[in-house]
Amino acid sequence: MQIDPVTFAFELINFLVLAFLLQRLVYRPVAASIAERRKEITETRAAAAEKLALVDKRAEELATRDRELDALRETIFAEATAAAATERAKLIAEARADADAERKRVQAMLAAEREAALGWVREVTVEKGVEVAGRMLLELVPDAAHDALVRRLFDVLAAHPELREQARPDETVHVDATFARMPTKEQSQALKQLLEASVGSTVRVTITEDERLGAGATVRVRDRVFDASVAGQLEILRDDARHQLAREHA
Amino acid sequence: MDAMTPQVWLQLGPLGLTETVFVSGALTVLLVGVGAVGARIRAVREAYEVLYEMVEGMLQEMVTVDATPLVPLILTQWLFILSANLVGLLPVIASPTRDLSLTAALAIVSFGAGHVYGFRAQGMAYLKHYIEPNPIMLPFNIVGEASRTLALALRLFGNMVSGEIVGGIVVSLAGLLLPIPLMALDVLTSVVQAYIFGVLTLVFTASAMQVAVKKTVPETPTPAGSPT
Repeated sequence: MQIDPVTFAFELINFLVLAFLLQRLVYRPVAASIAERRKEITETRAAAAEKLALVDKRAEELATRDRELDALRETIFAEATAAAATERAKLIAEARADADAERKRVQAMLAAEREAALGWVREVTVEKGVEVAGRMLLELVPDAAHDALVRRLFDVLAAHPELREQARPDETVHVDATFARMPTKEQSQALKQLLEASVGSTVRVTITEDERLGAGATVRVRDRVFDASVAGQLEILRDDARHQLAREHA
Repeated sequence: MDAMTPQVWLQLGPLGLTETVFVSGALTVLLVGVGAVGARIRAVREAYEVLYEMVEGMLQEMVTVDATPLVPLILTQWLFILSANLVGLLPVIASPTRDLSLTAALAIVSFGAGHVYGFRAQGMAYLKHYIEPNPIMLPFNIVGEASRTLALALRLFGNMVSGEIVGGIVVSLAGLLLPIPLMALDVLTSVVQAYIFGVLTLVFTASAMQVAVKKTVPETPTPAGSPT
């Protein structure tokens, strides 16, 4: 358990040599490799940091762009909403106007239809009334009516002396007389004398029978027609009734 | 005790070269050879790099100064002491660390490394730590440094010699197979002693480098993992 100076010196030198050789042959190359790798790692990290910063910057730019797009979208949406509201109001107004116009048109059409219906009712009423009146007259007093109308025809012819103004001395006037019933010989004679007195010329009377007249008779002298028939009177009555209803409706 | 004394294998005049000299020399050649050849092989070199970085990180965690320049010294001590401890498990060959001359030389290296790195860190101001906190403490500080160095040598020497003695006693009493568990224990002891020696060298050297820092930093934290 003594320290041998030779061994001590040798071991001291031995260890220093070992440390020196290991440092030269192993540690230094290994440390150099580690340093190189750390340098590469540092450079790689720096490059990655630069790229990361670039990415962050790009992300920030994208975020800004995104915010701008959001704002633009909001603006466009607001404008579109306002435009849609305006357009909707416009469409609603147009639809209301169209509806009002259509309603007015339909109301006018309904009024016209109603007017037409009322006109048809009036026409039917007049027609039926006249028909009933004529039928009642002919059924209740057919002979009296016929005689009265014939007499009235004679009175009318007698009340028109102007027929004489157109007369020429050598002329024979053709008169068409239509009776609801064939007149008696006396009535035919009286008619001829009355006509000759009124016209002032020789008269040739052609008498025909037409039951459609109902009662009475009509006479045609030149271009004038004297109507004293039930059918003619009813026609006059019908026209008067129509005009009366039209005036009342107006 | 004669069995514990290294045998002289070669006598060159007045110089007697002991077994320790040859075995440690062979270990040096072996370590340098393996290291140099391995550093040229890519896979082994990468393994070296991983090991080196791991050791560097481990040492850096133990001290507050920059441990990078101390890594080669501490790593060399670990490799040499560990191989020297383990070579004793081989038959016939005795462990060189059972020789106080070798452990003393290693302790002197640690002592010298502390001073070298201390001077390198702060120049001549490093010597001030011998007269701190006042000049009266100079002899005590010198004795402290010496005793610390002596303790390094004796700790390693004592542990390894005791293992050899116990193993020899067990072999003489119980035969050849029973010492196998004790050999496993010797492996653990070898690793632990190598680790302790290197770590103590690291702590002493780092404390020498840290003297200047103590003036500005009121309280220096205890290095993590340092033995007490």
